[in-house]
Amino acid sequence: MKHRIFWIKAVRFVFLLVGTCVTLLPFIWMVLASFKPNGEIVSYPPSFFPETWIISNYINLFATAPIFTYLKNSAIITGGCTISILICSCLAAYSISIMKTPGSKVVLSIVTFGIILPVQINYIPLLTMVSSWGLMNTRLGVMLPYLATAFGTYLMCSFFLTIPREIVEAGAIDGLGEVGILTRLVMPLAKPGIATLIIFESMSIWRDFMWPFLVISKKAMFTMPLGVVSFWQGNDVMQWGMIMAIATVAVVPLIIVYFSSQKYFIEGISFSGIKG
Amino acid sequence: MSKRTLFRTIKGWILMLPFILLFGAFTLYPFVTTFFYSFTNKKLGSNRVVSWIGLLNYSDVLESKDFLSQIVPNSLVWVIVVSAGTVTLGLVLALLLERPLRGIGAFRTGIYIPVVIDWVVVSIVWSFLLQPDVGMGNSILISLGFAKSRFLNDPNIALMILIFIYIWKAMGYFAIFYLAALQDVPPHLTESATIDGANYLQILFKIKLPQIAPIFAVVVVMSWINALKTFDIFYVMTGGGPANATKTMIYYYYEQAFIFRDAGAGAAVSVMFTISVFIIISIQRFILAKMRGAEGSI
Repeated sequence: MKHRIFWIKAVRFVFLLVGTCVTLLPFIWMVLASFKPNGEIVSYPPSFFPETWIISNYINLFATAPIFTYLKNSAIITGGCTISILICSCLAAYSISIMKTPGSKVVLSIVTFGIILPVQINYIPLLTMVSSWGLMNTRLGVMLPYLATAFGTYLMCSFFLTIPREIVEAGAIDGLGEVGILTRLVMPLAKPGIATLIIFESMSIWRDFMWPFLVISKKAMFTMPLGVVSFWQGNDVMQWGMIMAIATVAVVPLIIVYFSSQKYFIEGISFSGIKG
Repeated sequence: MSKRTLFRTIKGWILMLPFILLFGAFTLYPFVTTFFYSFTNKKLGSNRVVSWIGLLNYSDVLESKDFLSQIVPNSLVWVIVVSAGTVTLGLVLALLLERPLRGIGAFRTGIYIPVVIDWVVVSIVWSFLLQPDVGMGNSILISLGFAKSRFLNDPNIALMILIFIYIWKAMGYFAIFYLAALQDVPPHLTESATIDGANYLQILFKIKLPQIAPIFAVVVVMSWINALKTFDIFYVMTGGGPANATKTMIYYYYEQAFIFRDAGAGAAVSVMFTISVFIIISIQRFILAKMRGAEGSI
C-alpha cells in the first residue's frame, strides 16, 4: 500500500513539475533573453541561458523610452481608481448589506447585471464623452470607467454580509453614527475583503490595454502596457533584447504584488467564486 | 414609514450615491447609448447630424462578406475550444494540486503566474517564440524532426495557436477556483467511501465532481465570458489576420467602430455580442437550477 502511494505521489510530482515548467518557461526565457545580445537571441541553434550576459539592453531601454513616465502614469491611474472604487464600494455595500436600506435590492440587481456586462461595448459612447469633455490623452479620461465598478461593490456586499449583526448593534448603542460604525468597526473586520478588492481591481486596471489605447495617443501619457506595445511596434523589430527588457520591466510590478499578496489571492478567488 | 425609518432610508441612499452616480454615468448610460447608436448612422468623431436608420446596421453587418462566414465561426470556435480547454485542464491541475506533496506551494504559485502577467507581455513573448525564422518554436520543431511551420502566418493554424496560448495562460485561474471548491468537499464523504472500498476514480466521479458542480457551472460561464471579451492577444499578435483567420467579434467591433469610425455598425456588433453573453448566462442559470434541483433530491 505504501509502495503504491509513493508511486502515485511521484507521478503527481512529475506531472506538476512538467506542467509548471511549461507554464513558466516562456517567462524565464523572456527574462534571460533580456540579458542577451540581439545576435544571440536570434541565433540558431538557440541558447537558453545567456552565453554572454549584458545589461546594455536595459541601459539603452531606459535611455530611449520614458519607462518611469509609463510606470508613473499607470500608478496614478491604478491608484486613483482603486481608491475611488474602494470608497464607492464600501459606502454602497454598507448601505446594502448592513443597513439594508429599503430599495437597495434594486441597486444590487443592477450591480449583478453590471458584472456580466462586457465593458467593451461601452467604449464607443465613452470615447465620445471623453472626447467632448476634452479629456482625450489625459489620465482622468482613462480613469472614468473605472471610478466605480460593479465587481467592487458586489465583492464588498458579499463580505459585509458576513459581519455579525451584534457588532453593528453594539456600535449603534455606543452612539456611533453610520460612518463611525463603518470606519471603526466594519472595515477592520472586512480587511480580507478589502485586501482582495484592492488587489484584484488594481491588477485588472493596471493590465488593461484596450481602453487606454483608445484614449491615449501621446507617448507621454502612455500606461505601461501601452508603452510596451508601442515600443514593440515602433522599433526596428530586430531590437529583441530591448523588447524583452521592457517586457520584463512591465512584469515586475505585477509579480511583486502577486507574491506579496499570495494569501489573499486564494481567499479572494474562492470567496467571490463560491458566493457568486 | 416612521420618521426615523425615513431618515435612515435617506442616509442609506446617500451612502449609495457615489457608486450610483459614477456607475450610472460611466457604465449604465454608455450601455444604453450604445444600444441607441446601433440604430443610427452615427460616425465616430464627426458632428454630422445623426439619423435613425432602424435595423440597417444590423442587416449590413449580417450581410457583410466576412461576418457570418468567418467572424462568427471564429468566435464560436474560439469560445468553445478555449473554454473546454481551460475548464478541463484547470480541473486536472486542481486535482493534481489537491493533496499535499513536496513543493506543492511552489507549484500552486507557479501555475498562477501566467494569469497575473498582462496579455501584452504574453503576446509579445509568444510572438517572438513563434517567429518563423528566428523564433525558438521552429528550432524545437526542426530538432524533433518536423518541418518548419509558418505559425501565425498560416491561416489554418493561427487560431489554434492563439487558443493554445490562451489556455496556457488562463488554466491556472480556474485551477484555483476548483482547488477552493475541492477543499470544501466534506472529508467525511470521501473517507467513508474509501472505507467502503471505493477507488480514486469512483470517488472522483461519484462524490467530488457532483459536490463541486455549482462551482463548475460558474467556472464554465466565466470562461465563456472571458473568452468572448478577449481583445489584447488578437490585437498584438495577429491583428485579426492572416486573412481574417483570427478575427473574432470583439476585433471586428474594434475595427468597425474605431478604425472605420462607423459607430453605428460597431454598436450593432456590440449589441449582438451582448445578447450572446446574456443567452449564455441564461443557459447557465437554467443548468444551475436543474443541478440544484437534482442535488436537493439526494
